[in-house]
Amino acid sequence: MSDITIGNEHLDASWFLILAALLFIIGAIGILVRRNPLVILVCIELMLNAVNLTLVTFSRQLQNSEGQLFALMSITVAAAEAVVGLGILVDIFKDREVEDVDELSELRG
Amino acid sequence: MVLIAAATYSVSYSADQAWSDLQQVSPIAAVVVALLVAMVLDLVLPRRAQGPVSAAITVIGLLASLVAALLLIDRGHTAYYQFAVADNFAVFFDVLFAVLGILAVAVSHAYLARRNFLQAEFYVLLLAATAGQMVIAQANSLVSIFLGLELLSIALYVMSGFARQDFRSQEAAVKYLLMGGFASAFVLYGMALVYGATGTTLIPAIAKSLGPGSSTNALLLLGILLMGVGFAFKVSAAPFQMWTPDVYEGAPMPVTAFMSVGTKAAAFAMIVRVFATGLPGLSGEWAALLAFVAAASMIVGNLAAIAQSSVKRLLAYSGIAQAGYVLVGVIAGGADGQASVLFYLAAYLVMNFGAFAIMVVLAGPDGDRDRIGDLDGLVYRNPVLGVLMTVFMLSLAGFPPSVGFMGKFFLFAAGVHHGFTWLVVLAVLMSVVSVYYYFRVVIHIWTPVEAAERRLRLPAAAGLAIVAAGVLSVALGIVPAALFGLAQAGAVPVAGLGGG
Amino acid sequence: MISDYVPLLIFLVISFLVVGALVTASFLIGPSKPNQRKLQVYESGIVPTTPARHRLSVRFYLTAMLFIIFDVEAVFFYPWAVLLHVLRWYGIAEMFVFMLVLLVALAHIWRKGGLEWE
Repeated sequence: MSDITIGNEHLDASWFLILAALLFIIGAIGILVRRNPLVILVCIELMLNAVNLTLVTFSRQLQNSEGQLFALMSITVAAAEAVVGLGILVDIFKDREVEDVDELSELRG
Repeated sequence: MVLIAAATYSVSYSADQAWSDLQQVSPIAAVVVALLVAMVLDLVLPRRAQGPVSAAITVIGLLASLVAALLLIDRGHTAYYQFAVADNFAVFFDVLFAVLGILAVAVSHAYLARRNFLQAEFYVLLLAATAGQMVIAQANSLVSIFLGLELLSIALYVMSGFARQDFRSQEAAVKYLLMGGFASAFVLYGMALVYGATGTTLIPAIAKSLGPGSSTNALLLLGILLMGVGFAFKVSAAPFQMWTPDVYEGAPMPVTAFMSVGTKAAAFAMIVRVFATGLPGLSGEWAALLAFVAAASMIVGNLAAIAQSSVKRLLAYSGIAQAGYVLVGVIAGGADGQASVLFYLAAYLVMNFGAFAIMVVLAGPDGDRDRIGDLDGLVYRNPVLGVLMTVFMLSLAGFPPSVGFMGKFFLFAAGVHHGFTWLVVLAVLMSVVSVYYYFRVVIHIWTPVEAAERRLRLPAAAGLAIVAAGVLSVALGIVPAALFGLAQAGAVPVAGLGGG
Repeated sequence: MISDYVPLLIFLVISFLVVGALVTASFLIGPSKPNQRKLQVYESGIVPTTPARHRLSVRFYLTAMLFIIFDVEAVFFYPWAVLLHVLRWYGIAEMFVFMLVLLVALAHIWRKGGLEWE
C-alpha cells in the first residue's frame, strides 16, 4: 500500500480504507438495529459517505481523478436521496406519528 | 449531470466532438427535454389542461427518443470520454424503455383522472425514471451506471408514494426508500472497491485490467460480492426480495406496472454490462454467486406466490421467480445467453405489463382492486380483458405458443448449452409449480358471476395498450424470429467484448 | 509574479462594491422601525423568549433540505471552473444548460409553494 502525504505526515492509505469500512459497517448495523425511519435515513447517508471516503482515498492512492469525480457525483446523489426521503417521511408524519418502522405493517401477505 | 461529469473529465473538447457525443445520447436527451418542457408547462398552464398536455408531451418525447434510438442501430460508439455508449445492447434497452414509457402513459391516463392524482407531476416523474433507465442502458462506466440507477430509484420512491391519501402507498414509499437506499450504498461500495482494485471506472478498461491474479484479489472479489448483493436487491431476487411484495402492493397500480418491468429490465442491463462486459475474466466467481441467487429466487418466488390472495403480491412473487429464470441466461453467458436475456425481458415487458395494465383498468376511484376475487367473471364483464388476462397468465406460466414459452425456451437452451443443467432442471420444475398459481387467476377470470355485475368500461388509450401487448404476446410466440434477431444483434457487442 | 494576483484583486474589489451597494441600498430603501428590543446590544444571540427544549416544526427540515439540494449542486461548479480553459465555449454553454435545469426546478418549487412558510 502506498503512502498518502498530508503536510509532512506520511500515512498508509489502508488506514483511510479501514476507517471507511468501519463507518460503512456502523451505518449498516445502524440500519439493521435502529427502528426510527429518520435514523435509518441518517445511517444510509453515513454508508454513502463512507464510500466517498473510500473513493477519494483510492483516487489519491492511484493518482487518478475518476474517484474524485465519482465522489462528487455520489455526494449530489446522496443529497437528492436525503431530500426525497425526508419529503416522504414528512408526508407520512403529517398523518400519523411513526417512531418505529415496525409500525409500518399494513402491507402483509 | 452526466454530460457535465463527462465534460469536466475531458482534456480537450471540440464542437464537433460535442455534437457527435450528443447524438450518441440523443435518446436520453429527448426524454430530458420532454421532462423540462412538461415541468415548465405544468407551471404556466391552467390546472384543467395540465393532464392531457403533459401526457401528450411525454408521449412525444418518448416517441422522439424511440426514433433517436432506432437511428443509432449499428451506428453507435462510445461518447463523453467513454462514459456513455450507444452500442446495440444499449439501443435495445433504450427502445424497450421508450415503449414501456408510452404504454405506461396510455394505461395511467384514465387512472390518474379517476383517482384525482396530480397528473403533470406523475408524467414528469415517469420521464425522470425513464431517463434513469436509459442512462443505465447507455452507461459505459460505473459512475454513469450509478447515476442512472439513482435517477431511476429516486423517481420511483416518489411515484410509489403517489397516492398520498392512502397510508399503504406512503408505507410502500418509505419501505422502498429505506431498502433502496441501503441497496444503493452496497452497489456504490462495491463499485468503489472495484475501482480501487482495477484503477478505473470505465467498464472496458476494467475488463482489460483483469489478469491471472484477479481471481485472488480480495478487494475485487469483495467488490463483486457487494455489487452482486445490491443488484440482487434492485432486480428483486432472493434472498433480497422482501421489499418487493410490500412495495408492489402499496404503490398505485400504474406505478407497480411500470416499475415491475422497468426496474427489472434496467437492473438486468446493469448486471450484464458490469458483470459480463466488465468482469469477463472472473465469470466463474460471479456466475457462482448469481447461480445461488437464481436458484433461491425461483424457489422462494414460486412457493410464496402460491399462498397469495392479492394479485399484486402474486405478480410480485411471480416477478421474483421470473428474475431467477432470466438470471439463468445471464449466468449461461455467451452470445446466445445474452440474446435470450434480451428476448425474455422484451417478452416480460408485454406479458407482465399487460397483466398489470388490466389490473389498472379494474381500479376504482377509491383505490386499487387487487384481491384475486376482484377478477371473478372478468371474461363475462369484459370479454376482451378476460381473454387477454388469460393470455398473459398463460404466457407468464410459459405455455406455448406464447412469447413467454419461447423466452423460457431460449433461456433454458442457453443454460443447458453452457453446462448449467442443474439450474435449468430446477427452473423447469419450478415453472411447473408456477402453473398452479397462474391457473388460479385464470379460474377466477372464467368463474361465472351473477348477471347483475356491471360491465367494465375500458378507456380507449388503455385498451389500445392492452390489446397491443396481448397481440404481441401471442404473435411473438408464434413468430419469435424477428424479436430474437434483434436480441441477437443487441447481444453481439457485449459478447464481442468477451462476455461469459 | 505579483500580476498573477490582479484577477484576485479585481474579484475583491467587485465583492466589496457589491456587498457595500447591497448594504447601502437596504439602509436607504428598507423600512426602519427601531424598537426597544431591536436596539438592545447583540451579544451571543437574542434573549430567549421560550425554553429551547421543544420539538421543532417539520417545516424546518423541508426548507433546510431545499437549501441543501441547491447548495450541493454547486459542487459541480468547482471542477467546471478548473477546466474551463479547456472546455471553452462548450463549457460555458454546458453550464448554462445545467443552470437552466436548476432554474426550472427552482421555479417549480416556488410556484408550487415550497418556499412559503405557512
